[in-house]
Amino acid sequence: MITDSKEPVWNNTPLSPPSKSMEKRIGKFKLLEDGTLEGTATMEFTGHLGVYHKEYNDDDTPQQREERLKNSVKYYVLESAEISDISIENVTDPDKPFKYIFKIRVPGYATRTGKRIFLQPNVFERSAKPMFESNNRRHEVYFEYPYAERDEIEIELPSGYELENPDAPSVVKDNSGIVVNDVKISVTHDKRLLLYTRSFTFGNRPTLLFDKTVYPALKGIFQAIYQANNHALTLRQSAAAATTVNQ
Amino acid sequence: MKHRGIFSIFILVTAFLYTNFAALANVTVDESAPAWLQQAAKITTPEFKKDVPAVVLRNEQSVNVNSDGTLTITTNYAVKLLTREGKHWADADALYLKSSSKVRSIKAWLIRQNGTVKYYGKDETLDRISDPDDIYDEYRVKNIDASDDADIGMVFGYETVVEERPLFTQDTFGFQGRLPAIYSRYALNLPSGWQATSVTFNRAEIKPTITGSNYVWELRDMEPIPPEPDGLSARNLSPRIVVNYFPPNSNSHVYDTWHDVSKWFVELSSASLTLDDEVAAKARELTANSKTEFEKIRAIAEYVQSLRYISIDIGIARGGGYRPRPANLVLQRGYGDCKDKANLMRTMLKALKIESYLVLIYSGDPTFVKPEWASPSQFNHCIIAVRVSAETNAPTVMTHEKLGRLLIFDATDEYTQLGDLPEHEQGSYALVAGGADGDLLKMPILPPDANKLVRDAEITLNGDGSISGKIMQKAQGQSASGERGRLKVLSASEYRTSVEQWLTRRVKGANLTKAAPTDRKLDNKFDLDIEFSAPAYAQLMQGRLMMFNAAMVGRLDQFTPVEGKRVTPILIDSSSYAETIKVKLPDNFVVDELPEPDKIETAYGKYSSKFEVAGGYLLFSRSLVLNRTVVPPSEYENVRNFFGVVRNAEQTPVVLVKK
Repeated sequence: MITDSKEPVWNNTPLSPPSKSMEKRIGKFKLLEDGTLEGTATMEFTGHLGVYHKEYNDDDTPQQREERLKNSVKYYVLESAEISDISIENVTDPDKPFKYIFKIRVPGYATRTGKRIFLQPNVFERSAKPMFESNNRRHEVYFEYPYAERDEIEIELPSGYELENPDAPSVVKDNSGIVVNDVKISVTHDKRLLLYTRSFTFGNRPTLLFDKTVYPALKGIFQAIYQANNHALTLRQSAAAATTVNQ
Repeated sequence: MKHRGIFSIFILVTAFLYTNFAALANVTVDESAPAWLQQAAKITTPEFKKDVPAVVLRNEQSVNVNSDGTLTITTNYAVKLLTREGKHWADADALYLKSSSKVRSIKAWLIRQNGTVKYYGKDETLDRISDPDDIYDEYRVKNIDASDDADIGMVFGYETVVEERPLFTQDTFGFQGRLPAIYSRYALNLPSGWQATSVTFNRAEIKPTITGSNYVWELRDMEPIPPEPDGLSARNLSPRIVVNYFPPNSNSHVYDTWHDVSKWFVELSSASLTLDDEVAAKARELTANSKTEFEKIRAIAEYVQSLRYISIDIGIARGGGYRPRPANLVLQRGYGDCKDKANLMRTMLKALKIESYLVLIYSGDPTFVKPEWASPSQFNHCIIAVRVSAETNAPTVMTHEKLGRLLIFDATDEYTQLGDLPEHEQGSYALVAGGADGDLLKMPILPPDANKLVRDAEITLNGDGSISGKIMQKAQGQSASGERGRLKVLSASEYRTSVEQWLTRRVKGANLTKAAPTDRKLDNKFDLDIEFSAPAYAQLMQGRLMMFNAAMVGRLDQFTPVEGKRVTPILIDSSSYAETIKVKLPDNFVVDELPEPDKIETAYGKYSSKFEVAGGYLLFSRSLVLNRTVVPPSEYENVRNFFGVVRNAEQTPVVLVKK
């Protein structure tokens, strides 16, 4: 309410666009033949997401902050994840983005069988859960603000293996354009480096509150996004490598 | 602290590790830090790992035994805070018994990094009940909490002086807790001609320096003891001495053997065996329909288990922490603590002419009680041993050459049935109080089959990767107790949610359509049947490959690896597990790759798994048997590898390819 002695005016406060509250995750990794993944990761949070992380961390000790990050990585990536050389920046800086930089080693990251390795290129979503799990909803669904996610990941592939019929998931979006999830996967000419990008935005239109009657549709689209983020690729032992082994 | 009340005197004794005394009767208070603290604050400490919150600079306790048997206990304690978590160690406690001991003095100082000192005296001392969960407790604590003022790099020190009359002429001193300690010292100053003997636990023998009747034990440079999963209690890992002291030509209140402790406890507790008409009538009423000896004992056991647990600690200084309340009183009131419950059960069994004995045990760590030191102070809990005939058989029956066949039972644990024993009590030394025939006995360790979980699943996998199916889980023994407890503690919706969470941990997005628990209490079993479906359990790749994990729920290993080097022993409990999963494969797919079968056998366990394909079905079966073992940290890598094999079977997928 904009107050006025004669005629107060009601108005909605503006929403910041999704790009102002961004979670940006960058990873440069190497996949070993035994399925271990290792490399460095950067996670940066701006806008409302940045405030959220700052609020959560500002009263903690450095050790508690590191512990929080470790637990989070174990939850979202894999329980076996080992984190080191952690840098946590701008925790109490109101302007700059909240930032994690760390080294990571994840034994058993990729799944190995006799002749294949199954690799989920979105490392940051390796063990994430679908946003909505319950089949039923009793109340409306409310998102606090529009937000966006951007993942840029490079994975050096193990020698002796090559991608088997690689593909990428389709773009997921709703008819109104409120949610968009776009994954792109490519490989360098020498086929040794996998390049993965993902752009996600929510709240491209100012709708944050959803009636429970649209819950099945909402759950469906986030389930589709979950599946796209969990898209896995197959690496197959190359003929040359197999020959070498056989010799 | 469910069992704390029973042998609270033990806590009093150990709590004195952290208390101390300063001179009294000063008219003016010197607020400057004492010389010993100033000296301690100057110590250069070594580098510790960054998760070590504080380092103890000095932990000193001096016990003066007066000729009338009373004690004056002075404690000087200094700790340097290394992290913000370490601030919580800027806290001084002096525990005392309202009826028989006094805190003569408690003073503390906080030395800041710039050398300035803050003094804490009477005005900053809080006097409160020791355990707020107790209805009434004679134990109180005088406390100075400086944690709000403390910060990294500061040194907190305190002095306490407590006077008391001990129940036993025995004492115990822990040289450290989990924190590293630079210097620790225990001094026992006896009247002329008195003597002391000591036993060292968790460390090579620490010999005292003896000057006349004064004894001093010292230890330096103790490494931190980090909390680690599946580990032993800190008190059972840190160096500790126990001491017996006695006047010339006397051994009053010092127990030479466990028979002596048994005799003492029987004398103390026998008056509580009050079998009156009311108790006898109740015993007859409860067992009216019982046909066998086991059924009679079980009827009494279930009734006593159902009584409310309430601890009221009074008369501690006169042995009240060990003495049960009269059985008829406990029956009338309908509540009691562990010794009250065990004693009521014993009295009711007596009415049925079934003999039984109270059993003193340590609840919480089966390796805590050491046979080398005969002392009631080693226990914190009371259970019961029922003398049974040859017709009664159960995994918890053990035989003693004089006391006969004994059925061991914990009347306080409301979820563990007769014939079973809580895991943390299995294999523990416990004192069966059978008078002169009483003895310290090792409690039975139940075989892995007595703590069993069997899962059978029937699943249909569809061509789009979705699954539907059911899981039938049958738990027995301690596995059933855990499930029983969960069902009782949670509301119906909370229980369902917990099952949903367990299922969706591996089957993401699963829709739970049925969760039907059945507590088969009399058989000590617990069944859980669930039905569910999930939209995208198997991953479809390039439209031609399908990949899924055959192990769909729960993890078998129950093992949490530690980062880096393991420092403390690993406690593995006795249990067994068997799982069979039958998956109907989609018609248009065939198996392309199956995981290799696994088989591994060690001293502490064995594991095997195998996959078979027949008639359009995939059959995955595996079994795990673990034996109760305390594995030294030097063998940690082997343990880790063993559970790694178990985990691999859960993570290696089955690969199908389109026909």
